[in-house]
This record gives sequence, structure tokens and C-alpha cells, in this order.
Amino acid sequence: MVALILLGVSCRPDPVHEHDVTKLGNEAAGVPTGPLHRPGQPCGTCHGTQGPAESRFALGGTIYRDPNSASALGGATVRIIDWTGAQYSATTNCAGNFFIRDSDFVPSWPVWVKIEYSGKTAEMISADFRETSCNACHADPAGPSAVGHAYFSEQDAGAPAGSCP
Amino acid sequence: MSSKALLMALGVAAVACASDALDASSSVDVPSGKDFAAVSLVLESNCGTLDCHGHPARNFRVYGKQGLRLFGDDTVGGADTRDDEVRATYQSVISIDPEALSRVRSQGGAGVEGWIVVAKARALQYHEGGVRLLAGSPADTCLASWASGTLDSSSCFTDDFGPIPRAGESW
Repeated sequence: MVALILLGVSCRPDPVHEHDVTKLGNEAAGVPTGPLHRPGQPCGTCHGTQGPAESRFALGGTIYRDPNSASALGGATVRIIDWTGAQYSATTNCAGNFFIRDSDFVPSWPVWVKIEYSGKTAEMISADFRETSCNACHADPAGPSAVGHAYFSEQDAGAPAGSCP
Repeated sequence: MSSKALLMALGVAAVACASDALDASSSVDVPSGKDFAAVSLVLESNCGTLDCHGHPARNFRVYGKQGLRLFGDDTVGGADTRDDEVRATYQSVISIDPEALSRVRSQGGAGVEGWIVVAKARALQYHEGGVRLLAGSPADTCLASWASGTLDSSSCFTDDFGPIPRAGESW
């Protein structure tokens, strides 16, 4: 009896995680599930070990052109270097999204991040010590516990790479 | 033993344990907050990012410019760390196992690894964030010396955690 109760408790879904997933809301109209969906949202909520997405991300996020607009920066290279010096890079798509699957690279935390675009580089000031979702901290609006969306340049990021089809 | 008796026994045991841990007659002597700004710098950069102890859901909170801000009109990365934020971090630190911290101080720093903040930072105890302060490193020395009551402030401005790429270094 006790064993059955314990089994029931251990199999119960994590209500905090369930809440976090639900809080993300529905998919945007006209954007199918895939690499272009949910820009600005914390990828790791669904693409972490608890799912529900099937693909698992070691790191993912969305890069915007500047701090004041929601204009995505496509075609940027996001480079990371981890504590051991291991490096990996990914390219942002037209939605500004990038992701690194955990089947491709698993960093030894912390990691440091920089963005390269159009011959220029922007480096993140602090390290990422564990968070697989860049957008978890880089959430809008900026405030006492959120830094605002991740952006490449204070002013002009250069020629736009175009928008998503 | 009936289930009622078992519950009563457990309840008595729980109260006995609680009263031992919360002995109102004990007093603690924690390090001063006077020189804590230097220690706060180390904690901000090594512990206080938004994904770790700069998260408002954490009981051990670290406040500062690049992490959690104390005041609602401040933004992450905005104004420099304020004195009130240093004080809030100090209050946060001394509230973590103050009896052990007091013991470390009274022993001149001996057994500092027994204070949970140092133990976690060195990952001597399970720590979700792993090793954050390498034992003997300047940042570790800063925290440990402060805990012992004799702050080595010269160690508080050097951060040598791992092969961190610095500004100007190529990678």
C-alpha cells in the first residue's frame, strides 16, 4: 500500500513545470511548431529534460537587433565558450532564434556568450552559470529581475537580414 | 504501536529537534558589514546572476548591478550596485547558518568549510551551480577571510574562476 502511494507520488507531474509550460500560451497564429516558433520565450521550459518537446536544447534563445524594438536579428553567429574552453556556435534564423541541441554539445557550466554579425562582435557581460534559456533572464520588460531581450547593438545592427516567410 | 501513538511520538521528536535548533538563549557574533562591499563584489559576479542567487525565488539572494535589483525602479545592468543592495546581500549572507558563521569567526577562520555558504561555493556539499569558488583562489580567500573576521580585501578584486575569456582576449 505504502509502496503504491510512493509510486503515485513519484509519477506525479511537476506542477511548477506544468504551470511554466501553460504560462507560455498557445502557438502564434500562422507559425508552426519548429525553429521559428515562440521567439522571445524561454526555450528550455519545453526543450529541457522535463519536456514536453521531444528535442532537447543545451542552450537556446532569441537575438534582436536593438534594445528598443522587437526586430529579430537573423544570420548572426552566437558563439559560446564553456568553463573547460570548449566552444560551439549556432546561427540565428529569421525569427532571431538559435538553439544548440544537447546531442550536439553539452557545455560545462558556466558559459560565456558573444554574438557576431556583419563583422562586429557583441559580448555578454556576465557568464551564464546554468540557464539553458537565454530568454529566461533576457525577458521583457527590463526591470529589477529581468534584463530585457538580448540584442546585438545599442544603435544600428547593420543591414537587415530580411524577415521570415 | 498504534498509528496514533506513532504520530504522537514523531510529533514529540520533531518538537525536540526544533527546540534544539531554535535555542533562543544562544547568540551569534557574525562578521561586520562595514567592509562587506568588497565581498559583495565577489558574490555578485560569482553567485548573483539572474539564473542563480540573483533570482527572486532564492532564499539566499545576492543583489547587484548585473543581477537582482533591490528597488523596483532599477534595472538589471543599469545603475551601479547601491549601498542598500550591499546591505541587503550582507543580511542575506549572515542569515545563512549564522551559528556556524559565528563559530568560524570565534575560531579565527578554522573550519570555514563547515559554513554552508563556503561549502556550497566550493561544492563540498551538493550545489546545483557546482564549484563557484575554487578553494584558495582570491575570490574564495575574500569570502573565507571575511567569514573569519579578518578580511583580506586585496583578494576581493581578483576573479580567477576558470579560463574566463576577458575583454580583449580572443576566443
